[in-house]
Amino acid sequence: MEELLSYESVEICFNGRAVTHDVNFTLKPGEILGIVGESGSGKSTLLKASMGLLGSSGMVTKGDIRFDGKNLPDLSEKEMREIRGAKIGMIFQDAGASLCPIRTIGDQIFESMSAHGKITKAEAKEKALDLFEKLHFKDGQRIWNSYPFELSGGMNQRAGIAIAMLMEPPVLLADEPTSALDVAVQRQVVQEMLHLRDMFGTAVILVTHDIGVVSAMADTVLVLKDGNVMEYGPARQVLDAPESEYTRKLMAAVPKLRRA
Amino acid sequence: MGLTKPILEIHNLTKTFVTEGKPDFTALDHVSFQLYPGETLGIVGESGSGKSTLAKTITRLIDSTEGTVTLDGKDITRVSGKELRDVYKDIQMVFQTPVSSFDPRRTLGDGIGESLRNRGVSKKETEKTVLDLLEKCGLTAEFAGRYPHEVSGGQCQRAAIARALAIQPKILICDEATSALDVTVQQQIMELLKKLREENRISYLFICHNLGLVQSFCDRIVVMYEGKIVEAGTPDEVIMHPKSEYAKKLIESVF
Repeated sequence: MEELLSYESVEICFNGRAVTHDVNFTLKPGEILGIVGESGSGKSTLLKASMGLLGSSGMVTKGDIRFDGKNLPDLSEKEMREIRGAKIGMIFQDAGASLCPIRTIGDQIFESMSAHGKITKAEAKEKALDLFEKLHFKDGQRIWNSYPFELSGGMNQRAGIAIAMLMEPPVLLADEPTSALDVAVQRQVVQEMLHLRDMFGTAVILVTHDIGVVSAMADTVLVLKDGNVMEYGPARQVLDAPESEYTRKLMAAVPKLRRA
Repeated sequence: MGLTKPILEIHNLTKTFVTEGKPDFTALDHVSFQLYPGETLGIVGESGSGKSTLAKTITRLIDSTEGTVTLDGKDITRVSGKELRDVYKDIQMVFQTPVSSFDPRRTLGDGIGESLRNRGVSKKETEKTVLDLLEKCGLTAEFAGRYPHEVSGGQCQRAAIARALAIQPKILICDEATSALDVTVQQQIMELLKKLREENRISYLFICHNLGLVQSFCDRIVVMYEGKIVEAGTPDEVIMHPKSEYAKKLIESVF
């Protein structure tokens, strides 16, 4: 299948200092790629690079990030705005914090949808409630009318994922989407993301330090350490029979639950 | 542990938060358990289940509404002043975010030695002990002169453990002490806690939402839900053969 997004020898610098070195990977439609590594290994930086969110001190200094026939680092801010959200969606660790605190979820959904095309509020609401229902949200109407602080952390995160998916982007970047959640909610969010992949064929890059979540979701896994790719391959191979010394060390450090 | 006396005994401990204009909220609801010398008791449950309120009530950082806390045979539920300060000779805490648990304007060495200076230990003696503690916790002497923002999260947590150990407590309460750390760093901190348990016969109250970690580290586990203990037993009893619906659900959710 054709590649949707590809990183080719990507080096990213902050204030002239390289934080990722020669990173290569590809993402096919519907594929879930898990990027794992310790804090500071450059996981989030890789995601931000394809959203043009590196800020004023960061830039892609070598290599290409190819998407839809374009090299993303070469695009202007105006061109990036067409892609951000509509073609490449993103969700963050704490959706509650990435939503505007003084406006309802419904208002924010309408705003993000109108930014990418003409739509009435009623149409936006119909589309949103339809997706909420597909995700089995208990009371979609209440969520539409709620402010973020009126929802639990888990519900905010689920709403955040739904909002990102409303534009049906071919690629979803998920930065530690389950790390702030309790295990029970974590499992629910993981199942919903898998369900969304099946419904829309979305390709997902999942950045997390939680090996359990990666092993439940990912088709392919990339292990990052100090900005260098330690290992990259099919999930089962990397997780069950790691070749690199570092991956083995990382896997050995994960506390595993023995159960009946 | 039939004949041994518990080092810490919690009986019917209850904490109700009263806010004007809001219904009362009972964060801790008649919780009872014992902790024995050298024992590690794990406390698990989802956020909001009352784990941290429990730790804070035991250490008297907040006052309980009902029930008693007995430390080494002495009722400390309502003690104050010098008697309360004496409690901290026996109970120390390690918190989830090490960097914010240190004063940002003072060095780690300063923070580690504070409890000793407060007890009237000489400056020279304190300095020596701080270096010993740092070494015990896997840090070099130079860390004594560093500020919290100058070290990594894992290094700072080691310093926080050194600080908790300075006064040679009988009980160490770890409130999600490794949750903010990477798995590799988490593993190192767990090794350190295990080593300290063997060398000093410390009792741990180990609050943690990671069941895998609790299983490998604790002698007994209590499961909390909505402020109550819903299940208690050895890791094998609770994790292999959970009885309560909630414990079953919690264990099923783990990847």
